[in-house]
Amino acid sequence: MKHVLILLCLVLGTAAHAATDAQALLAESDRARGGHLPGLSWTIQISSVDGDGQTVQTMAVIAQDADSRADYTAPAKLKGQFVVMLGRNMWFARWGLQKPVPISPRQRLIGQAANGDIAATNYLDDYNASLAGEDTVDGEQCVILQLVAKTKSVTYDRIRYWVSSTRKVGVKAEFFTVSGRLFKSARFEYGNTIGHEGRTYPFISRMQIVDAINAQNRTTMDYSRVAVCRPDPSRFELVQ
Amino acid sequence: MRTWPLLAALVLAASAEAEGVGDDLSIRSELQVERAQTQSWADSPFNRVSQLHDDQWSAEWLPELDGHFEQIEGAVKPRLLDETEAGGADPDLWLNECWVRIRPCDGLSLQGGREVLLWGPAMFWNPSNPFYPENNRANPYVELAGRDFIRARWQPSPAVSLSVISEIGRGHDIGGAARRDAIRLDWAGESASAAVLASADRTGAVGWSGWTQWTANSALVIYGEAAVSMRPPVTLPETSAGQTGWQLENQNGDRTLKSIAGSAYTFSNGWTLNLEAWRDGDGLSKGEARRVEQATDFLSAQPAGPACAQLGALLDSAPVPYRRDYSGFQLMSASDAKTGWLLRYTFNLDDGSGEAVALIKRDLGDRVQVWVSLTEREGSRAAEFGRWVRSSSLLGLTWFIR
Repeated sequence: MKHVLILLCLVLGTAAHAATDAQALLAESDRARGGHLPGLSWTIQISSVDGDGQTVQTMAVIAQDADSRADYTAPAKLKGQFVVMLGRNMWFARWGLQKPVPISPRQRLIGQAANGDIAATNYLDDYNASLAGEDTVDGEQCVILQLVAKTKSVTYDRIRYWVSSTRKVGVKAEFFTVSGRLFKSARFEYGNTIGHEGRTYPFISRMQIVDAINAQNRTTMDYSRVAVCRPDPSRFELVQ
Repeated sequence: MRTWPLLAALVLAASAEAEGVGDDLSIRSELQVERAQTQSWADSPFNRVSQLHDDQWSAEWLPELDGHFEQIEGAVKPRLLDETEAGGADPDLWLNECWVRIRPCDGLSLQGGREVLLWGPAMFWNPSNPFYPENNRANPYVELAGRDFIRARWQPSPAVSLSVISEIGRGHDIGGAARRDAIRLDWAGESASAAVLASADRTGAVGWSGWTQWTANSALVIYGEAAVSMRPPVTLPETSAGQTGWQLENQNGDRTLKSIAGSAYTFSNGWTLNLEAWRDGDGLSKGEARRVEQATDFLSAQPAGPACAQLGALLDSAPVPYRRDYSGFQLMSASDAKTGWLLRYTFNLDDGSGEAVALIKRDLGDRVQVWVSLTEREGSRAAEFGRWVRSSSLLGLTWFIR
């Protein structure tokens, strides 16, 4: 009986340690995508290719914790359009719509990009992480994290997330529906850097999303002009 | 007609000047052509007063300039309207919006000028907004008249803000109280958000209103709005022994409740369906509507003169033709679609009339958009949606200059 108890403690202890490792790794990888910083501003160019051809849009984003605002800056027909996200509350305004209207996280912005993709990534707050094995992506050793949504109101229900063992950044992801169906995958590049509390960190420069059903449908998000800064709270106002 | 080239020259001059300003300036120019058809003039007692042509045409030019420079933002939106009913008169030229907003320090914004001030999660009607409750009830592409406001907003964090708003003039709008003040508190939590608002008109009558919304899951948003305020004075007909058989009496309103509940569901293909039901306590009750209908029928059958004057005063009364109970649905294509569309139906549950709106827009490249809006109304000639314009079509061409 004593041996069984010791074994049980070891198993539980190992499981708890693995979960802690997974959470810590997720926290580190979040920072390279804007999470757990005092605030950020960046510019995103979204290029989407589908059956209708190619679409290119640019937006200026400010983010603080789980709150963000994205103002479209190009093309000219989208100027004045914006998305505000306060927690999981989302509003969308565009020229001709008369007023900001509430939207759900499922509402698409362009191509395969969801609203959650343009904001700072806080997977640690939204998902429970567990270790799901190891793998190599483009010759780089990675840990696979299994992320399960803590609530039903997040953008994705389940994610398989490949995090570089050495760089501690997410390099690949697969996104699943509630029914377990893969509906898109993504690759990440980290050509930007940010400075925070006296240190320099790698920061996301490109996210490329591919539709799982039709691989010709691709959306590329290029991040530039990244700066760590606490935005003016009044920029998050809805009434225009 | 001299105003058209003058306004065009101003917009083109601003466009040329803007080349050196940078990306913070937006210039748009829209041309709308509308055709509205009523039921036969002789068939409608209401047209005896309004005298709408059976077939009306109008053209409106809507240039817009807005931009920001450091902590200052602003917009200028002049409008130019030419209608067939004008009978050869010069087109109307007015400034529908012109405002400036400054952010003197973090968390504080101050704004003044003419604007259309809209808020609330509901699509069809926003009772939480005492300034513009009727914001989207009709075609969303039909613009509302701007009014003059000054307002200050203090937002210490993205989740909380306090606003003080004062309507200081009716701007291009007509009728209604000349002044209304409001104080508004906004809050946003993890998955829900809400606002409460107290407002007072120039008589000192205080009204309370608010809205709330909840993101139930990744596809569903549930929301509601409500207001408790004094019903505006109502002009209602009473039978009398006078010349026309009817007299009009002004009645002071009681405190009424206005509320709307709705939901928005986004399908996996990006389409969004809104379902809403609402009750307008300011609308006509069944008994009031019956009296209005009887008086209208009786007065419109009499020769012009006192009867026509009474009919005009009656139909000009604030709650006519609105009733109390409504429902509506709206289905909208994905927001990123190159060819976007919207279908909307409003159903007056009290009189059985309804209004259908279909809107289609198509991008022609990155700078030009063409859209068509079709409205069809049905109902008896006494019903809300059956008494005025039966159908209308609106064709718009928008040029996004920069």
